[in-house]
Amino acid sequence: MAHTLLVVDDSASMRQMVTFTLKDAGYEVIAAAHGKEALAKLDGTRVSMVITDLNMPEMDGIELIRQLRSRPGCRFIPIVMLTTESQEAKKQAGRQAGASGWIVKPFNPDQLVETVRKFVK
Amino acid sequence: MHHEFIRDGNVGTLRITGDMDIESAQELKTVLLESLAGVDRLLLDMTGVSSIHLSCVQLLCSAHLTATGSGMEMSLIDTDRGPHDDATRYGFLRNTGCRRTMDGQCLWLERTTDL
Amino acid sequence: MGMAETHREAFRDEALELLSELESALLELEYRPDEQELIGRTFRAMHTIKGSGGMFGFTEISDFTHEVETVFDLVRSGAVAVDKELIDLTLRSCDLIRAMLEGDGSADAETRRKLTALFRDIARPGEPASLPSEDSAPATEGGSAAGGDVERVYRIRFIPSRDILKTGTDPALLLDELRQLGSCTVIAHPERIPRLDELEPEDCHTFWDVLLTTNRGINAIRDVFIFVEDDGELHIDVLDTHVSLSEGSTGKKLGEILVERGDLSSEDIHKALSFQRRLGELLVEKGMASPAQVESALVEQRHVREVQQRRQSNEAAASIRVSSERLDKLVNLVGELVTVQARLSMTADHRCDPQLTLLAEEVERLTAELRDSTLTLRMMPIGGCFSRFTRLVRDLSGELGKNVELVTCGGETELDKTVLERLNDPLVHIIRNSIDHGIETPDVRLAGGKPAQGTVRLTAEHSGDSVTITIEDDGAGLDGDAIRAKAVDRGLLNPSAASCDKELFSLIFAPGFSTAKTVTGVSGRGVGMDVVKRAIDSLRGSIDISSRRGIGTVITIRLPLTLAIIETLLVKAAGESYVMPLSLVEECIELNRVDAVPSSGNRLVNVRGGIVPYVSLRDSFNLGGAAPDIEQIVITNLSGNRFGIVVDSVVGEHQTVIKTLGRVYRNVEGISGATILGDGDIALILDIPALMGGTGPQ
Repeated sequence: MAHTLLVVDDSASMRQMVTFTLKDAGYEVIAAAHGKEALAKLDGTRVSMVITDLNMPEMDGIELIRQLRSRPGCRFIPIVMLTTESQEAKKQAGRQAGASGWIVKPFNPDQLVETVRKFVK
Repeated sequence: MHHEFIRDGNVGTLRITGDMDIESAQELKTVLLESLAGVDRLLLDMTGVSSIHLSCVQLLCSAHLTATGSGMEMSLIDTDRGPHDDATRYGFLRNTGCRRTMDGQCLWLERTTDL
Repeated sequence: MGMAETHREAFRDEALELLSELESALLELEYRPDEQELIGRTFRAMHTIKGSGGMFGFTEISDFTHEVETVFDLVRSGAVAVDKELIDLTLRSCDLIRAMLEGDGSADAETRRKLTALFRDIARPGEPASLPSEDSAPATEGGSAAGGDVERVYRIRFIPSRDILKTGTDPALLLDELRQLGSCTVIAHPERIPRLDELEPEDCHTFWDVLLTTNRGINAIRDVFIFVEDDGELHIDVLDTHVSLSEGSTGKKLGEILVERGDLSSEDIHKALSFQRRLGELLVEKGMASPAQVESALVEQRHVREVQQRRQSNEAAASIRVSSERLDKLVNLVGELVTVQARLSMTADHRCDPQLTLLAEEVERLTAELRDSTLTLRMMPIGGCFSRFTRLVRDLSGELGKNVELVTCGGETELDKTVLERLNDPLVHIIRNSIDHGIETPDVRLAGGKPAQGTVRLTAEHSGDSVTITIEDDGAGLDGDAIRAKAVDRGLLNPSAASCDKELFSLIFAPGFSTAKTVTGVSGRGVGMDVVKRAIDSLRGSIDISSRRGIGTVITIRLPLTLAIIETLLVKAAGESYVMPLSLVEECIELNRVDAVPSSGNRLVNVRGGIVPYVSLRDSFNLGGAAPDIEQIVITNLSGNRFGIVVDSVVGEHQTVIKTLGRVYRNVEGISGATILGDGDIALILDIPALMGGTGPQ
């Protein structure tokens, strides 16, 4: 059974790129534009991993991570942040909130898959 | 994770099935504490376990340590098959027994040895 | 259109959209410069353009947007205020980015440079403009990483943060990743797992040691732990370079590694080793192998080890030559040391000083080790001696018209070099006798149903603290009747005496005995076997003979491993100390005067139904004084003959370093040497065969 991953990014092109790459690698993908939408889409669905941007309208990545970590079924799943070099403070905040790892933008599709595979096979 | 505990005199048999994931860790701790209370010997049947997360491996180790520390016995049923692959994956496989437990045994003893 | 181009298109569309949104946000911001929501929208737009731009190949856009984003990050945190100038600048940036997106190469590089400088000036006023730092992705490209290509063994100790499981990392995946890098051994440490009631189930209480052989370099290993390294502990050591594990290199022992890592103390290791069970036992217990299979494998293993050791010792022997005088001097010194050590131990015992006792025990242990290793230095394989006999057998059999093969076995058995030197002549005598008197001529053999070729088998083997050498032939065997006739003829045997074969055979060791019908040039004139016996006796050895008519003869020689230091029994008579080789002592009993029957010069005592001749040391050495009421009799056994020595008291076992006697004592019958006792006194070494000679059965 293929793992289902949740991808959260407010950039449509980012979502498209990430979604396409992960599907190509054999994963199922649920995509959301921000934290609120992610939590709504998650309702009832079990995902193996979450990949989230940090800067998003409505609910940002840090808050999403915090909320996921208190949600049954999501407490122990890997959560990877999409960050940029300039977001060191945010990255630390994300780790405090319970993120498992991060990918620094820009990245190429191989790097994305490589990172995902560190957490789900 | 599902479990079933059968007590026959001073011997208890704890049968665990399914995924021993980290979500089940809290429950497993309770189950182990309850199972060890009031028996001299606890037999662990893990033949129906499909996966074991590190948290549960730790709990089983701890239970074994606790049991032998209080003069009880705790061992795996179906010793021929050897420990679960996941315990091996975490590097828990042992050639020799555990030096912390009173009986010097280990739940994850290697069953076959390549010479 | 390729997939990459599709992504670029999607990004271009999105970026243009973002730019329009950005412009309207900027225009609003000019009027409400403090509104966080607007600032956030502006920042996110820049952030997305930068991040996605970099990913889809718009590096220049990404780099430029980075400058704008940095300033708006400062605006967000309140470090930089929004003013008209910043809005102007940012709007101009939007135009520039749009032009770059249209991407016909006409995007004005000069404008980009100018704007970049201006934004940098806002971000870091007064600082010289510098290039933005290089972005680096966490995942590096494995093989080409620093330290790659060369295969090395790494020891990785990973102690994760207790929270690692709660932040969605499963160590199993990290370990799997390591396994993909190369040959990998993972050892989980459960030592920190607490008892059940204290255990926090969702915390990680385990840490790991991993041995990894890989050519991917240390960075590839670090990358595995990239997300967890900061919160936990990670130590990576290079153990070895260019390893070839297949070559059977034994490497360090398990205990050494554990001690080196500080996991265990060496006492722990010793304690654990004493509990350790052998693999063979386990295999048998589990029914995975039969005891016989295990035994056979063990034998093979032992064999290989022995061969290796022998090879090593041979090589060692070839590598250094030391004159035997030097060795002898060393042995003498060690002998002195043994004596002094015995005195030290005795003194320590009297002082009742625990510290001194402890020291004395330590010295005793070291001395014993030193003594053993020193004596080993003098040990030489008997094989060299054996090989000389092949020629002897060949020459002899040719001369006598016989066909004899010499088979040797146990040539690697080691003996003290002095013993070896003095063993050669007796062996030559015995082998000569075997061929001359034992092995028949081919026609006689064939007539008797034996193969024409006779065999003399020479075997040496260790048994305890002695070495047994057997000389076995498949010849005619001893002729009991001929021996009897000869013995009677020579006055060695009373014609009416009934003697068993064993007693008859032992007569051939008597002086002047020879049963050969004709005197040959080979076995001489019947002076062979008594000389042999004396030589063996002088080596404190014993010689036995057994034979079956028509089947063959076996001569067994037992020799002590060394001559320099022997285990003895210390006894006292008339205040003097004497020692005798412990190997000869059978038992010590009280001499019951009632049983002691004096008889013409000899005395006999009844020991468990057997009559044993004895001498009293007081009488033999003319010692004065009255004997105590209860005397002790030490029963010795020399080649099956029992002989008693009456002494005042038996002190106990004593390790004796043999000293040659001075002139005064040299000709004293019954004394073969002297030794120095722990208290500095001299003890004389009794020559049991000589003492016995005075009482032997006549």
